[in-house]
Amino acid sequence: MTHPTNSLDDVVHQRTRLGILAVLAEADSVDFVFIRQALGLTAGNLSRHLAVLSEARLIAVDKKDSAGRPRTWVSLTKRGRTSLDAELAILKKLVEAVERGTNRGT
Amino acid sequence: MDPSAEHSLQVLADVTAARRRTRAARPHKWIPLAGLAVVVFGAMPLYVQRPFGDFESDHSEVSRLSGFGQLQHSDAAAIYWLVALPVMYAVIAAYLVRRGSRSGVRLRASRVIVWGLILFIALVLAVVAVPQLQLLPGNLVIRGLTPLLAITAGVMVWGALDRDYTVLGIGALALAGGLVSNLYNLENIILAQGIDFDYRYSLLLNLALPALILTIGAIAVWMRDRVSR
Repeated sequence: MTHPTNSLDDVVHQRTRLGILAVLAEADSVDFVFIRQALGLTAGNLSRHLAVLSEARLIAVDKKDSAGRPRTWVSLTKRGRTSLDAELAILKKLVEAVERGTNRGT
Repeated sequence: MDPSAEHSLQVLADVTAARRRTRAARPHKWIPLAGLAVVVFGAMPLYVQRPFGDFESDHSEVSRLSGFGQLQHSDAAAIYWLVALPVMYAVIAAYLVRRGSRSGVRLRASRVIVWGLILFIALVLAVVAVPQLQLLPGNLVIRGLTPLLAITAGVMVWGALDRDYTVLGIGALALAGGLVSNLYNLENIILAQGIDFDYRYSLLLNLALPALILTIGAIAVWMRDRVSR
């Protein structure tokens, strides 16, 4: 039997990227600035992670002018939602497996 | 504890915190529900029925077709729905867009508005354009409460598109309440208890049922979002 950690997707599993996907899962689209502040990232760092997620087609990035200032809206794709759900399921499975083992040991 | 499990626990906690923060910033879903409940409650003064023997026909063909004919202010009731509902959808759209733009967390307004309006326009066209007996089963249109079906079905569609099972459940319950209101005189329940009831106000009970479901639903969504922040 393979260990649950073998099923983790490297693109999604990276802590910051997982945080970005989690933020996006709660709305239809989220402003770049909100994500940056919510996760305590620098603009450059967030841009790099968004590029990785966009490359993997897990998110869609839309740049628009709003009230005279440019804003970047980010949204989760269907693929991104599936990947996030799968990742969270694996993490929960992992924790449950360890807790079961701990209980058996006591 | 296994380091990978400890790491997973920490990651899950971070994910939950990030989700909570986003949920707190996004537009409140209880507001559209409360707005729609207000529209239904607002129709109540227009749903007082004519006294027995009042056969004066001062209402239009459309009013009669959609079941408003028995009301004291039949044309006003028909016009109320045609104006109040689109206005409320416009207010809800303005709120969702404004709040989303300000907070940086957007919910798609079209899921609430477009489907609500499509269902309402379809209903109006169906009632006006097609002879009612050919279209609607039984006595679905005799009480002038068919707008309730469009409103509640719209809430259900919104919940389904948003994958929000609480809103979907509220929409389904309200739609069931709307169907009961259209097909059954709820005053019969009160009369069965031996309580006397002026029949002219009986439709107020039918209006109150879906309005209360939407109101309780709005409170439930407000509490859910508050607890999960």
